[in-house]
Amino acid sequence: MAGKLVKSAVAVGCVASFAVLLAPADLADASAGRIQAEGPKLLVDPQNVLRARAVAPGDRIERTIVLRVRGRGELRVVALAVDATQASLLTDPRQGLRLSLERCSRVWRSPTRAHSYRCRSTRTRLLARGPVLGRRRLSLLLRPGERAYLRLKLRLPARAGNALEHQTSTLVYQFTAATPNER
Amino acid sequence: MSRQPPDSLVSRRALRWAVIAGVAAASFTTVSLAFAGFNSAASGGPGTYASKRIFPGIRTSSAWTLRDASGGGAETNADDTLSYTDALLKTTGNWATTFSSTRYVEFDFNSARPGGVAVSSATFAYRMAANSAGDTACFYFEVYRASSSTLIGTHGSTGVPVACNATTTQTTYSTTLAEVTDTTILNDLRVRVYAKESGSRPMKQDLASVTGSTAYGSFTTYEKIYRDQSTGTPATTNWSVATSGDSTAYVSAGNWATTFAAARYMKFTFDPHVPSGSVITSASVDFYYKNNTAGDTVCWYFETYNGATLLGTHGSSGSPVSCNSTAGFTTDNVTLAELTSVTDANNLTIKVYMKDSTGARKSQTDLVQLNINHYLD
Amino acid sequence: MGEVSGLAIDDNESMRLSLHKVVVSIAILGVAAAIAGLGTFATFTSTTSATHTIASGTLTLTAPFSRLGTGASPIAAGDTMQRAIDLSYSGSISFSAVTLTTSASPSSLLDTDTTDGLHIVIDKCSVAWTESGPPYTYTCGGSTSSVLASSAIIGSNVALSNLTLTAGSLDHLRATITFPSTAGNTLQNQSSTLTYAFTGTQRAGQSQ
Repeated sequence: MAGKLVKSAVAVGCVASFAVLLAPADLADASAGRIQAEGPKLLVDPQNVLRARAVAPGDRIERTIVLRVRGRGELRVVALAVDATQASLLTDPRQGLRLSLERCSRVWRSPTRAHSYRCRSTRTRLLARGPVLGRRRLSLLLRPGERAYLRLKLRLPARAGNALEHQTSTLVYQFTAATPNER
Repeated sequence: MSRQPPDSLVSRRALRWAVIAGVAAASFTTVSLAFAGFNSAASGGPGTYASKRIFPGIRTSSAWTLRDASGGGAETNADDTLSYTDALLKTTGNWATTFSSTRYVEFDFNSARPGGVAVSSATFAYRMAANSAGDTACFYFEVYRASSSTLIGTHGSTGVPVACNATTTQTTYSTTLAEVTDTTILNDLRVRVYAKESGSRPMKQDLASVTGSTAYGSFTTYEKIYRDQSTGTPATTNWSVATSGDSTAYVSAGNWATTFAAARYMKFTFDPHVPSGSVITSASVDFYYKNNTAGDTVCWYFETYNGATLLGTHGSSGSPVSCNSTAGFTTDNVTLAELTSVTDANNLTIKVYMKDSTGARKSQTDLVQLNINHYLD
Repeated sequence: MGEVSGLAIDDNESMRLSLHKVVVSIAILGVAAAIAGLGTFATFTSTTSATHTIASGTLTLTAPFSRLGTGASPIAAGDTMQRAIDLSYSGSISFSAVTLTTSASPSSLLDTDTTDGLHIVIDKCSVAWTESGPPYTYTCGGSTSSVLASSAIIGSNVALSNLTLTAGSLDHLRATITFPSTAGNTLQNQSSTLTYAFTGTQRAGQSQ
């Protein structure tokens, strides 16, 4: 009898443990959104940001993007990583492009010049100006149905010299989000 | 929603890059402020611009060689007495036995050279002798800018004269004029000769000229104004045909006939020293004349020569250049279209034929001047 | 072993109690592990990306046509020389300004005498200048405008006016070089070789 009890307890414990062991694999799958169909997914629009051409030192490149959540649950955008699939001197940390990021509580407006945006409500600076490449932490909570109106602002320093002529870089803005901790 | 501060990790990284970027920016800005941003350059040239060696201009020269056959006989040598070593002498007044600042003879020279050209080996040639056997004549001299009477050089002194001639034999004394460095000075030259004569007598002069060279050839500059203050009292004698309106005119040696004649003429030879290679764009001669007896009418025409070679004829016996029956000088300027070569210009002689309406009368000539517009590339 | 029997009795009871503890412990551990596993299992991550291509432009100033390399010799006071040059703003970035720097080597009074030495004037024709010669002269079949008023030939970073400066455009310029008629004999027999450097700077920064 005792032996049966022991065996049963061991069995329960093992099953529970095994279930725990299985959990990380399921997290990985959740991040890919394959198996955890109920988990929230971060989306960005547009996925191809309008190209900037014939940029000169002193030029400002403003582009607006929108982050939103699809599915149930909240997401906290925790990081922005900018990488270059096509690098050039434009991404040089010393003389290349500088990036800053802001959020407007409403849609960014372009009342006058093309590619120049204004926020008519609450504007929040998410990232101060810095070299365009790199990974930076963010803290931006997105609730279901909520959209985050962001403005990317890049600037090629006025002091950039002739070496930065005829350069092309393709940047990838990767936003990472996670569900907030429930404990 | 409150503003989200930058992440601390971002802040540290941003701070590190900001320091690096700031230092780099400071150095870049210090060195390259002028080159902030893109710049580009395009060039033009090089193109070389070279000015002519001698600018175009009219240079004038009188004639110091004058051979007079107005009477129809042999030519009379009526050359300027101070321009050639030809035994035609100009005698000064009586000097003192010691030098004096108020006793001198002075020569202003002609200005026939194109200005601004460097001169080398400028030399004052002064030929003189004592008046009488046993006398000794000594001299020293000063050089001036004639236009401003500015002293530019002194040669010799009262204590150490340039030379003394204790004979009556004409002797040429040549002195280098280092102060004459270009033709601008040469064209504005005055030489003042201080002298003493042991017998308080005159000095006899045969030559007072300045010679030298430029990069374009040698030259001789002749006196056109002569001032004799040897006695302490000035007396001016200009070369008769070098300056107009100076009350000094050349009177023909002989009497003209009432008709033109090949044997009756005055020959004027010029020495303009046009540099070899020059381009002559125009030439003319000024001839100012009148009768020597009031009421007479004198007429003239002339020929141009290079040595014995006839270059051109202006007017004729049947159609003279002009006639003058007035008391004033007729001022004729005649274009010499035939004068196109430097050789012809440097060897030009004009042969002037005249007639006098009354006959057996002389003429007066106040100016004979050659004007050549030329340049040297 | 009496103790053994006691122990035997106590052992049986003790053993049963121990086994009970073990079972409960194992069960508790298992449940705790399961509960722990349930808490970890609730955090999701998601990433999304956007691509952005940025290309810088080029600022290119060229002189596809120029007669400035043709000098003049020999010149006299009062002479004028005309030379045409085209400035091309070929590149994708427009200019804000073009300046001119002129230098001479070898140098002479022709370029060092700022009063009687060479002077330059530049003007622009709305269409290509019609060239005659050499010696070159130019006529404008369109409209002219002043680019540089009369100045001494040597200058540094001299501003030029009325230029188009737009990327992809072309300016037809004519330089008139004058040897003043007031030049005296000291400017005879002089020679200067002139070089012209046109330097363009980019437009101000703008939104792209």
